Amino acid sequence: MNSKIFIINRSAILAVILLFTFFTFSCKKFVEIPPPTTALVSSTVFNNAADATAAQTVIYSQMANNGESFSISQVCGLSADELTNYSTNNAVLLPYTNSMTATPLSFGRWSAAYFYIYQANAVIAGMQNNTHIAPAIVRQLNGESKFIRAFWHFYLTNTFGAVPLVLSTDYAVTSKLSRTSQAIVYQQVIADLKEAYTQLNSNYVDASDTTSTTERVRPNKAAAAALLARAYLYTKDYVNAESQASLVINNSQYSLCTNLSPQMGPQSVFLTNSSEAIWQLQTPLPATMNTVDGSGYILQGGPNTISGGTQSSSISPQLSTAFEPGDLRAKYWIGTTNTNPAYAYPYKYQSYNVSSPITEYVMVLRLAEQYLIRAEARDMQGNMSGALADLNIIRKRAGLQNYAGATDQASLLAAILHERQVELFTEWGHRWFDLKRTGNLDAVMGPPGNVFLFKNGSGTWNSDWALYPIPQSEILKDINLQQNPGY
Amino acid sequence: MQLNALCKYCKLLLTAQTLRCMKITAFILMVFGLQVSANTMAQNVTLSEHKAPLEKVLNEIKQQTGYVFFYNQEWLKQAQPVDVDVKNMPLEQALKACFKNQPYSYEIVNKTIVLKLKQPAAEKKETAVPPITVTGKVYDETGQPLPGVTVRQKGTNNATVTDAKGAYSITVADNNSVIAFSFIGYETEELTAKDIANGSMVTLKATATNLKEVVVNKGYYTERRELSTGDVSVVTSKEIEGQPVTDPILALQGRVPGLYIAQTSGVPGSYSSIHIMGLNSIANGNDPFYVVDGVPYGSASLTSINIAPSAAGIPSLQNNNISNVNGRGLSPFNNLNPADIESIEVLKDADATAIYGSRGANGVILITTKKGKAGKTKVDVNVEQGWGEVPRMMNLLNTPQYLQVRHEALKNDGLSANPNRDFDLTLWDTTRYTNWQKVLIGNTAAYTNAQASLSGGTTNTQFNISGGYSNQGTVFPGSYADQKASGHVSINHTSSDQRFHAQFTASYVVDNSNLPGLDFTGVALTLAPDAPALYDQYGNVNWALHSGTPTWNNPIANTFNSTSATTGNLISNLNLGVRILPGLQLSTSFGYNHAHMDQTYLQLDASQPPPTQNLDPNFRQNDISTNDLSSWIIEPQLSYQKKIGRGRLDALLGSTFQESKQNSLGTQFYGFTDDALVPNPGAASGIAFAGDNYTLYRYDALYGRLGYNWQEKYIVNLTVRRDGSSRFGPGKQYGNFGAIGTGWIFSKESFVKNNLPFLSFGKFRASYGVTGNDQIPNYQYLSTYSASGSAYQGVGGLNPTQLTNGYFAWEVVRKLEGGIDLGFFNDRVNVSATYYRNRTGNQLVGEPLPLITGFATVQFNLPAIVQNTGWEITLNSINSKGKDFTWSSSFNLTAPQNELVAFPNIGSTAYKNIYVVGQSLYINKRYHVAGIDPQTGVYFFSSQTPFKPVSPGDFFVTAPVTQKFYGGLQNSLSYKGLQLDFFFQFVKQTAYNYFGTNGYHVGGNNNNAPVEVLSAWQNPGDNSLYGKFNNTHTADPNFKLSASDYGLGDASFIRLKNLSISYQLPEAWKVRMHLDNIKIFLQGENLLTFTKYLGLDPETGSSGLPPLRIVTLGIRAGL
Repeated sequence: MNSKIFIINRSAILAVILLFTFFTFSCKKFVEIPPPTTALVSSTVFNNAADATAAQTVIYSQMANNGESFSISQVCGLSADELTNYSTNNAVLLPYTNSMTATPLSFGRWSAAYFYIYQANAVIAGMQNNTHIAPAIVRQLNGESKFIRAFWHFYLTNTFGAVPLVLSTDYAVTSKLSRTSQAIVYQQVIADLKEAYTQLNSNYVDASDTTSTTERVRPNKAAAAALLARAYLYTKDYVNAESQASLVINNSQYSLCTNLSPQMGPQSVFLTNSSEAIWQLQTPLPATMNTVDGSGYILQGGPNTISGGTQSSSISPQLSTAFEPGDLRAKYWIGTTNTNPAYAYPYKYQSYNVSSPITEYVMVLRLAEQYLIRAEARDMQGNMSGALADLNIIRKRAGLQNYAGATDQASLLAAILHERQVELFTEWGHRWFDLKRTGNLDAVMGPPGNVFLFKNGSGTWNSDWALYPIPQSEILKDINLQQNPGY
Repeated sequence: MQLNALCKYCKLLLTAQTLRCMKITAFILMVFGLQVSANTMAQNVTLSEHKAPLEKVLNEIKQQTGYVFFYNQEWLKQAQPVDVDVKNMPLEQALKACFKNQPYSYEIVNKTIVLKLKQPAAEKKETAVPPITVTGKVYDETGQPLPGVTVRQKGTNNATVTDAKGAYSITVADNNSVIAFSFIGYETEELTAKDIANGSMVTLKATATNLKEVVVNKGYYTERRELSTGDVSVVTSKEIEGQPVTDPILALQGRVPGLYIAQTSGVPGSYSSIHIMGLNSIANGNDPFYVVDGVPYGSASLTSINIAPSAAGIPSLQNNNISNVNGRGLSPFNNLNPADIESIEVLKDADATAIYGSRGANGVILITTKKGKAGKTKVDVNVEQGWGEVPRMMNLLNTPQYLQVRHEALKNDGLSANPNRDFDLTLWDTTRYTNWQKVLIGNTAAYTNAQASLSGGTTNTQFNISGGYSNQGTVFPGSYADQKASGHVSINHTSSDQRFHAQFTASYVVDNSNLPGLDFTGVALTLAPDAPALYDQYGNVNWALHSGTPTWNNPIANTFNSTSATTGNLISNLNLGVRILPGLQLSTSFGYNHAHMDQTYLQLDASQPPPTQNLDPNFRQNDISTNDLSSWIIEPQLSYQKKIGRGRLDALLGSTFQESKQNSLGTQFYGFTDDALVPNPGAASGIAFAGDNYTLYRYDALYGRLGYNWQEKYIVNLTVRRDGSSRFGPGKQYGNFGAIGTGWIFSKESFVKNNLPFLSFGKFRASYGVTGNDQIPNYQYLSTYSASGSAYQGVGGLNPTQLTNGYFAWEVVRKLEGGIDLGFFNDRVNVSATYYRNRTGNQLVGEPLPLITGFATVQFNLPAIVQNTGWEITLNSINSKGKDFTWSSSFNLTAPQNELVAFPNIGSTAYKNIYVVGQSLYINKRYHVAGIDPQTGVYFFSSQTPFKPVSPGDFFVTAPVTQKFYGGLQNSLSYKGLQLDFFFQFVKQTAYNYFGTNGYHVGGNNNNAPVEVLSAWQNPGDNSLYGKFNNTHTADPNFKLSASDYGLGDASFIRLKNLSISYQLPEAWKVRMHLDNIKIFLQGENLLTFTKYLGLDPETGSSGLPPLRIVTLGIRAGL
């Protein structure tokens, strides 16, 4: 009997040894786990068109959800002379008093812009030598991502001056970049836009990337041409600026809306897919508001004194008084609170809440700007009559008489810039960028304009403040980055 | 379900690996076969022994012939010494010679020699005296009867236990039978039946200290403390019970050398930062590895990141070790019931932790729950009620002082009060004064704790069933609380022949935490003292409107938004063991842990100020988040013990199979038409996805241990482990770890015994080993895209979520430690000193990236080395031990030091602005405030022209923002039934003060400040610590103060952490009440704090709620 026990024990030992052997040999398989169910491995994203499209269109929904239009237009509007601030929150108070600091807050859309650029670069890399996706789709996505890369580099360089030019997703390279001069950044912006122009569809496409749609929510050829026209204008290449703007103006898809606001009638400028829209951001679903601009600018009472952004600013006296008598834009694009005192606020977007269906999309590029670009380009080339014609088209829509002032190049330029001020106010920072690129900033902010003093700024205006400070945290992490002067 | 999954996995294994399996089997069989044939070669025996133990002779024969002996170890006690001298004699004859005078016969079966006890022994038994029954009582030294003492006839399974009155009755073989009385915490006493019959009293002496006899749990094995080569500290239920805490981890504060616990908030259930022997890792988890009853227990908060924060915060995505706050949210340890815990072991050095392999780098904390004890069935009930409050408020400016500061600030800036902005001067009632600390954090928190348990059992089977309820309120306005209900079961069974052993424990805790959406402390410390009343005359939230918009953020509005979290936590463990051969034990531990948290955040329109109130139905939100964590572990283990020579060998071979899966989902419901409907998600008009998370973690390992002690004098302990973790990419999953520990009990050497009679115990110990760290998030080796939760053109977006390098591997910690343990005067005084040096290399870091790369971090191995060294000293002494009065003290002190030993090319990395080679990781690099300009009152910074912006090139290295040393002093005094315990915690440290956490801007709108600022600069020529009051940062025009060392200061403190007074009612009362035991007690936590810290509390800083002072009154009764 004892021997039996022993035999049993021996087989038990054997079983144990086998068990352990199992464990050791099965280890490898056991700790090799599948990817998480909540994520896709990057390498597989660009193996099919639907995922690749989702990786591109997510940029647009992020731009809409993050309220890029509102953030840029508000901070630039506060820095310039478009908006009056009421909040004690440094996020808006410091831009308003032109006393930004590199720390602790960061201004401009630095991190968001570079994240969009990363995503665009990832799509560009994914489209390279892609054999899984139909060539037509590869062209469209490649064009869109080049367009986005150009778009955000354009905003970065206009906000911060020389900026790192990021053309790759490889962090080993990009984490050590130094700043690239504005001229070279513009060269890349123009190159990207030219390529985008050749690759994008001329119509608007839906989520299939090939089928046409009436929703003007993804960049097409005209969008590339429109942004290219602006880039040429900013770099003073007036010949190309004019020709690109003409491409858009002559495109039968686009026409100026006759109505400025729904109060004047249907088919007005800022409604979804208006005839003037070259590129709009669709309101991503689910939505809690139509546009961030609408709920950020429309005042329900007096401005908020605590908020770090929304509902904390009103139209500045400088902007209010810039409108000529009878300008319909002052009537329809500016709202007024029923409080005492009353406050004026930007009212281009008129829905504060979400509506069903959604009636307004964030406008990124629209036809009116192209007329003003061409007007300026023509004026700078000495084509006064052409410039005047374009200028008067915009004035006419606003219910104004034709321009009757002096028609020398400088006077006409001033008239065009003034028209830009009242037409494009609180849209994507136009006023701030216009003042800087035309060299008028110091005269407006400092003497004789003295807007800086008017805004309660302390000390005297410093031209260095035309550029925003690069976030201190970035300078700490990228040892090759240098701060802008004055910070 | 889990088991199903496991089975499926096993099946897979079987099919996929059958082939490989067969090969292995064949290999093993071949090896066995070889062994057998080798062994049959020698059949003749050569022996030459004089008075040798039989066992030794048998071993010798086994070695020479390969024949195995089979016998009961117990029988060998009757063996006679062997005299044998044979040369090259056939086995049969040699055996005959050896067994000549032995009480055994033998039989050869195959290659096994089976021994049997000879018949005569049995015959003798028949003629022996009949069995006799012995009865008596067992007492302790104070004369109290001792229940639960095991009474055993020595060398047999014949045993019983004493009842509640200490009485026993046992029937033994004869008058000369030895009866052993044993009980945990007491020295075993042995008497013969004859002695007892002659009237000998049985009195058990309490073990002098825990140093020698106490068994130390090292997780996979146990050791007697005397023989332990590792660094292990223990906190027992006795110390935990004396503290009114609902999170058991807090009961360890100050009591364990080398372990620093910083409570991050006094909000009930909040997370604590827990580090053993300092920071090992620059960027990764520095959390110890937790094991509850053999089941690994996650140290991460279950609080979701997909939901708005509550007063307990939300965990941060990235572990931020630099600021010493490891994420926030609710503590996972809040889901354990302190009353269920028998002991907590803290394993620190390589010897103790290497067997945990890649998980042991930051130390191991073993939590063991209560088990039943043999004896009378006992019922214990414990009820206590208490009150908590903020122990120390700050002295802030009152209204007149505040107004003076404000007016001066405006004057200094050349401004006058702006009626559109400076509402505190122009609109609010400037005669009002509110002490906001009193209003917002000055309430009394209720504390209730009720526990009951039933335990008992026989020598073979013991059980413990317990249940509890606790409730801890907050000091905030409104009714908030953390409530906990728990149940715990433990069953132990050992078969009569001691061959089989089974142990099952399970505990379930339900915790419901209901907190406001904000910790009011920060507001209470900064709100202007003339701020308006919280409610207007109609009882509505007072927004003090100015042209229709509010002039302040009324803090009370936050009480309309609330968070609640309900957690269920099941931990269960089954351990089965069988003795295969004498000394050889096979056991397997099965563990399962399931934790589930449901969180809701309700945001009501009532919390929103006008004018947007009532306008936006989407403001009303009901956010729901679920978080589900389940993990299982299976650990088969083979252990073997054998006496070899004059020593003893302990061997262990084991394997681990572990999986942990976590799933969370956040959903936002919005668009309610009325506040009253918000709790019902069905009334929402919209649903949005707020984020999800899924992680799978798998881990497996093979581990082993060899321990040998020679004469209980010289000890060697070897542990090894080979580990695989799914947190690393293909090819990088495996690592090898191991340690060696040695000990020399020199007090057992005769030259010590003879020369140093006062030294009752002395041991040197040393260990060295390698452990690893895999505390990084899962899937870091994958570059991924995740769903954005938002649709564009009807299609959900995919956004990139992670960068990777794919090549990172283990962080490796090399631990070296040496120590000496001494006992004096019969172990009445015990001293222990330890020096450790831990070096962590191959640092795994989430390398900070500039955001121009698109991301903030990427996982990376850095060739940096971090070193932690330190001294730990503990001292235990029994100062007085009389019949009625005893007094004992224990003291511990830790002096840690941290150093970044190497960091190649630090200058070209982002770390150059954070760390300095040769300095502690706890340093900060900041601007140095050189003072203020006496002429202008403006701050200026070192090595710079005053008032010019300074750049990061001007950063200075601050003192390490951490503890210089820390420890505790416990005193326990008892006089008859009265017991007094008090515990002081002391910490010497540097930390950020009020200004460091709440900003430096004194004189700004709606910013109160400590009264100390009244000494600020006022007139040219003034020299002060504080710059001029200013409204628009004119004293610090470039915002450099917030990046300076200005707010850094001494935050040392001595705290009367715990006081416990209890009174055991006299015997006569107990009898009258039919109770075994009744005790009333008064306990206090965080009673007094001595500190010079400028701020609310030196431990939690000045932005969060400090640890509360809790005083409870309770009663404990045993039936």
